[in-house]
Amino acid sequence: MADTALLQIEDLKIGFPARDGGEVTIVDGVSLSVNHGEIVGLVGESGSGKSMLALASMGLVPRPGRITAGSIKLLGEDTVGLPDRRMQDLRGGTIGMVFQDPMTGLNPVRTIGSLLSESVRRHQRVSRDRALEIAEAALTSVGIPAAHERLSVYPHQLSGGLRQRAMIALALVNDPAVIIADEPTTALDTTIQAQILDLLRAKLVAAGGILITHDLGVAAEICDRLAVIYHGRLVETGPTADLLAAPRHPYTEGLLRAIPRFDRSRPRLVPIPGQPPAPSMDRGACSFRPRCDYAMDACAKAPALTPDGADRSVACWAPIGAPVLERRA
Amino acid sequence: MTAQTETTSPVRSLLPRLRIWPRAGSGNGMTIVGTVIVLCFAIATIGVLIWPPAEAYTGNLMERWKAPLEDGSVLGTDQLGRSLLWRVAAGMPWSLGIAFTAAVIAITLGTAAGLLAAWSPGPIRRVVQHLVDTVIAFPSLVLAVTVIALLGRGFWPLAATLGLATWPIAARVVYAEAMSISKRDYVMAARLAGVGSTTILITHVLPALRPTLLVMFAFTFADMLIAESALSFLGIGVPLTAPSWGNMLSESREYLVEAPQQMLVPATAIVLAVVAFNLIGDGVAAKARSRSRAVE
Repeated sequence: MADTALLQIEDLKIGFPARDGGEVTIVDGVSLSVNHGEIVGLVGESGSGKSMLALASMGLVPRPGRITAGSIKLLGEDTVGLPDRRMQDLRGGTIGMVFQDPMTGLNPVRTIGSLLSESVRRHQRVSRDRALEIAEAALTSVGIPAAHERLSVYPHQLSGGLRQRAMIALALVNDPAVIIADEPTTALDTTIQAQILDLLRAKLVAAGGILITHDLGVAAEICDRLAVIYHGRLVETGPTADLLAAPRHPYTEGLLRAIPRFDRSRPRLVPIPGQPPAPSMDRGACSFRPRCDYAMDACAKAPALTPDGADRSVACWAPIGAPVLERRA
Repeated sequence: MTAQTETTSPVRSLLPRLRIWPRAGSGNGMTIVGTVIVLCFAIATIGVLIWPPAEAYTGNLMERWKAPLEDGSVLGTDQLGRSLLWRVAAGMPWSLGIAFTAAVIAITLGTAAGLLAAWSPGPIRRVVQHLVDTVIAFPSLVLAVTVIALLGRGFWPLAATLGLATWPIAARVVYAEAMSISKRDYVMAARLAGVGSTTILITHVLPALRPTLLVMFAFTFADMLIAESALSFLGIGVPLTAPSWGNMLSESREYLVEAPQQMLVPATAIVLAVVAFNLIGDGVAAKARSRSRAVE
């Protein structure tokens, strides 16, 4: 399994037409692969391009944006430029996506059962009754009690946690090989978050998955590998434990320092100064340079993502911990 | 949510899907009034179609221009001694029938065109939009005169003309509404599940359009009723012998002083029907608004 990734994104670029007639690059040369039984965390701020990457994997880059370069291989099949029909077969069948907001992601005038069986019948040739049985099994598998009764219930009759479970069931009802979860817990209470994360870990590990989040805590909880995205580019990747224990990119370090901690008597939050860059900002220099404590002259040129020790890579001229004397100058 | 279920009356629980029905005590009394009036009109129309009243067409000149309640006549009589009550009843299949048919034509065509524009790539969308603009720009009176000149007076020419002149307005409303619905998260969720766009259109967008269509139908019906009466009044509507409300008004013009009831009876019928449909439209619109607030 290791050599054939379930999902392999290579050097992907997504552009939107700009007002001046040019093109704004939202995702710039991202490569990412997901193997069977692996959960990859994609971490970044709002506007960093992480959700766009997820939509691209589903073949749904919103118009007028388009994929300008690179490939997305799903079980070895390149989905870039695939006809709509074929992509619809894959979407929800081979690759499923859990949506951000369970409050608006379920049609308020449709029952849970009809929403789920719609997806089942789209991908499997089964009778209406059989589709409802599959839907019921999916609801049970995501821990919704009294699943049979819940089939005929409308979304507004469910609590937030149950709705998110129903959304997960909707993404998983056809047993997709790859699951993408885009900020699945952002809209939930903390206690419910933990439950949903537990459920997601179980489900994502059974297939292969990408968890998109801005919350390093959530990512640390369930991901095997992390990829940190900034201004549409990956700045650091590596196994979760290593990356969090010893971040190499100043941005990753900044993210870690900005997390509140309760195990220290006097918590000190260190925010990253400045604002995330606009997508249209020039990509000639390192995008993090204006906010970086360690910026130096070399940063006027953008560094490439280069291998950095066992299984890790970083895009920085002077990664933290490297023996570079002038770094802190 | 549970509170709502508990207060549901047994009668209403028999109609679980009929959510347009106003809840008692929710300040929707006027909607009920409107609905009752429309139901009375509908029943009367069907009754007149089954048992056409001969009294509407035959009169006794000796009994002409009776005032309402004079000598046993209920609403009075016209210049030929025909009962105004029966004439206004016999006019229902004409006036209400034409308004209903025209509204159905306008809403159906408008919905189809609006959805087509909302769901198509750029070129088709622009064609539909230009077509809509063109038809709206065309003066509907000229259109009506042309169609009547070509096809003659009658139920279908008039209903078709009114419907064809009105559909672009419905198309604009449906287009705008469908565009906003298509950006909702649950439509995206359906896309992510691999559901095709045509299926999404039918199973997600169309149901969400229902309240809009209902409201639009009520208001369009009222507009069509007025338009039918106006055209008949001008003599380019239904056949001159048909007792449509517009024709009755037209006849009454010459006897306004001698027999104002001849004008007042059909005019009251028109006003009553128009007000009833506006009440329903307002009620459903208010209800749809409060419900979408509750969902958000």
